[in-house]
Amino acid sequence: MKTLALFAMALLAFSPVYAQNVLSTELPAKFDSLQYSLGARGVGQACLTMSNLGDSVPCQPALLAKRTKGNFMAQAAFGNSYEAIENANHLLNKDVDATFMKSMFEQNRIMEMQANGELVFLAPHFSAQFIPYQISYTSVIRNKSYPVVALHALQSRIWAVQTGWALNEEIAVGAEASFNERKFIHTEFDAFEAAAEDGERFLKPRTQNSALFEPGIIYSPNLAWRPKLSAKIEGIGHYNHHYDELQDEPGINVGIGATPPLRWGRLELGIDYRKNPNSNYFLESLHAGVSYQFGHMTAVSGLSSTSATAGIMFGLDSIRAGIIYSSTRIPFADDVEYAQSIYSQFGLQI
Amino acid sequence: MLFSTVAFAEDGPLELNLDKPNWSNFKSYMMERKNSDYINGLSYVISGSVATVGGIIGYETSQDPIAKAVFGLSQSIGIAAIGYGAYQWNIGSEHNSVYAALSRSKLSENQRNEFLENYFAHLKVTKKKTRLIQAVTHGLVAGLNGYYAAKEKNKDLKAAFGFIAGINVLAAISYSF
Repeated sequence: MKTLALFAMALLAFSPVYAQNVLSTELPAKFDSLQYSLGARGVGQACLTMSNLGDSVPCQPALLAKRTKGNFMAQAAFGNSYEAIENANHLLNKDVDATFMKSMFEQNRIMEMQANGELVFLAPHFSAQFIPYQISYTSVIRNKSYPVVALHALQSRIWAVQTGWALNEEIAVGAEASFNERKFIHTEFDAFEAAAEDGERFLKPRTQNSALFEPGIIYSPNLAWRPKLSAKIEGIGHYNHHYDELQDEPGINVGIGATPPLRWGRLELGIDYRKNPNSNYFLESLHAGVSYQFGHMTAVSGLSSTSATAGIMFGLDSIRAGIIYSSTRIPFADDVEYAQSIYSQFGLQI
Repeated sequence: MLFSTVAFAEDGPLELNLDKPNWSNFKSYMMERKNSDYINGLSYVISGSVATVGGIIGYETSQDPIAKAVFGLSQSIGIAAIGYGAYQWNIGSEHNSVYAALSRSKLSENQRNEFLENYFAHLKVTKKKTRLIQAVTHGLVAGLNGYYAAKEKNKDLKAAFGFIAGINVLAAISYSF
């Protein structure tokens, strides 16, 4: 276990040069993506060409063209600090008073948590996903002498359907339609502001509903390493409210991948370009991932400018489970913090 | 190509084309399949063993209760994977019995071809009927859950019934092809 955590940190050490002086309130990368599955997280969100993962709907709907079997899964995932879930629930669903705000300055310097439950249906050409509850929380306390709390909490409910069809043996197209309900807080406040009479205003949740349509295409020439070129347009659709905090402009994500032929197991390599909302550096928008399926296990690892992950997923017949270790870089001016997280997932498959 | 993988497919077991079966093609398919069953089966045995041992070590060294649960589960799944792998390796494809019986028989090649033609024609009809039954079953489940989704007042239950109805519609459609 420690080896995996060290591996994740070692990967991060070789990641590209980071932007300096990034605002402390930058949006956590996970807020920007609707791909929450353990597999997608494990390959560092470099999942546009990956078909090994199979623990949720594919990142690229066109990959459904190659499915030959159907299954139905119910699964739950949980990551990290259990006390953070109480914070997140309180902030998003209850009234916040001065005592609660004060208590936030007495908690751990970094708290991170994510939990979700989902129903997933996968079939040849079609998939559907219902996530009735998904919650994500990150809080960072900075500057010991004059504490500042940076807080990000998000609760979502998502319905999504996907379809994918092969145009020929090398090209497939697909699309995803989803409806998302989000409630979030994305703020930063100091001890003085928290103590003010109207301090609670910093913690007032905002809501956003969206209906999105996201088409994708994948090209996979029939060559030895089965190279893949994949593209997906994300974020096209209607939002009932636009907030500066949530980057909801449509954007094109592009991925390249390959499957080197192996006698034993199946290896997939992928690099995705997904615009990093906090940076203009090209390298900081790249996500690299690798997955290796052998027998009933799939080992995954990923690297981006903000996180490094490594883990393992396994499944047989009706039971699936997995565990991912991740190290997330949290920059603040010239200082850098690392949040270490463990994400686990359990699922039943029919 | 008589025995081929499906269009735009790159993983999963070898698919058998049931349209024009004959002994020569069936034999080469079974040889290839036997090899893939061996590799696949042994992979499961090895990965199952690794998961079992890794699960024991992870369970003993982990502090996180959920991580401990995952490692505990990995041991049980690991042992089940060893059994599954042993089955794949030693018993393998559903066509193994037919192949073994025909290989040992004293039938001529024409007789074997005729037998395979009838066998696969029957299999094709069976698969078609199975898909029809699955499509109708999913259609009925979709109808029932759609009815409850329309009737239900509770928002969460309504969404759950609606989702189950929706996926069963998709399943019914996908089994109709």
